[in-house]
Amino acid sequence: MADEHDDDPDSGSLRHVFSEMRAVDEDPPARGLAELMAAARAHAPTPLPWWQRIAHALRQPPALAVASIVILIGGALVISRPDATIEEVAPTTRSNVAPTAIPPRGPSTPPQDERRAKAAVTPKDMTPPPRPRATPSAAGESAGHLQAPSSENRVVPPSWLGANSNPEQESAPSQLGLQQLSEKAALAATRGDCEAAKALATRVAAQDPAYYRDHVASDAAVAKCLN
Amino acid sequence: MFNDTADEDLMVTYQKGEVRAFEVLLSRHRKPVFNFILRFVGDRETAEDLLQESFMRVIKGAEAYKRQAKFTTWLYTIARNLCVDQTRRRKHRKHASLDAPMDSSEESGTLMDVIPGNEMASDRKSVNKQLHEQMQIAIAALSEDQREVFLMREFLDMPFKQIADVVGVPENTVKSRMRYALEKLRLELDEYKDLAKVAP
Repeated sequence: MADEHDDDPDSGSLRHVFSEMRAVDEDPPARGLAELMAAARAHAPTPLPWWQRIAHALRQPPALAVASIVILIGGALVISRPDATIEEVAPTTRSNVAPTAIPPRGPSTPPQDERRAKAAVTPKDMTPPPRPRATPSAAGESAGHLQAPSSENRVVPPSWLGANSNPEQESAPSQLGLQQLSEKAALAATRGDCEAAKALATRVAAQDPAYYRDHVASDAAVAKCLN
Repeated sequence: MFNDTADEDLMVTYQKGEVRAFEVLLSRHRKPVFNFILRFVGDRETAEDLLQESFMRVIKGAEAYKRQAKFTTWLYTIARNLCVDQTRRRKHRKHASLDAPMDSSEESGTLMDVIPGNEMASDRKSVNKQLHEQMQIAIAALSEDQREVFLMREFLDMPFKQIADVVGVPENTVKSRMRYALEKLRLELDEYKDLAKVAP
């Protein structure tokens, strides 16, 4: 054993004396004992209340480690299932609005609920005339638009108001349409399809006689068909 | 209540405010610590003061005590450091001489007085007393390094590893110091060899 005496057998008699000396160890004086106990009482920390003991235990490294692991695992679970969270929210909004906003009615009569919803969203002076819904998808769009009565929705008018709300924006597409019609008429006349050329020219003339006179009637091919 | 409790657990219990735990520690270690200090410094009055100071330091340092540390290692490190400081202070003041008074009082004898003559003591009790006194002188004559190791090993039954922790040196150094201490004691007490053999 490493902890054995590193000496020779001659020291046996010495050890005998040591053990005898130990046997007659002196007792310390009683003086100072009371003083020590008083000091021990004075310095003894007062027992902590239960909540502080819990807080102290939580501050210990094992408790912190367990808390960290729980947070990490919880975070990993939440992050690994992002779709579940999104799906949880999305159906809620749809289910709240869609069934009431798109009742199964005919396209000619706008639903009462929808009108009420629009009234809630749109200011009174902007309330549009009831418009027929061409397709259920359009109705769905509109319903989706109505379902969130936010300030954004109140400021931006519905798309079907756009034609009346900004005449400047309207003139450009109309010019473009006339130009396209006149070009198509010219092409048809060049091909020799005078019927189509006439029909297109008539549409341009109906929309803008001045444009017809300057751009369509002046075209040689079209003029030949018209004549 | 705490009689079978380990020193370390008692210390932790005291840290929680249980004064009775400290009382048990005090009753367990007061006597061995006192005798260790007494043999180290060789003066009863100083030993009493150092004993008191050792336990005062235990009380004051209780908050910082960690359960992982062996209580006796901590306690004897405190006591040993106090003894070392004390002997160094005393060394600066005066050098001990064989014909200097052992105590501060005028009536106390000298070291020469307690070293017995060569004549054999008549009764066994007297022989033991002579031996013990001679041994005490021989221990006091050891170097400080050797003395502390010897006292912890022979009188406190400490393992070499623990002595190394208390003293703050490698275990092999402790063993080496112990060997030298025993060698020195054997030489010092050579003339009392027969007396030691006679002693029961």
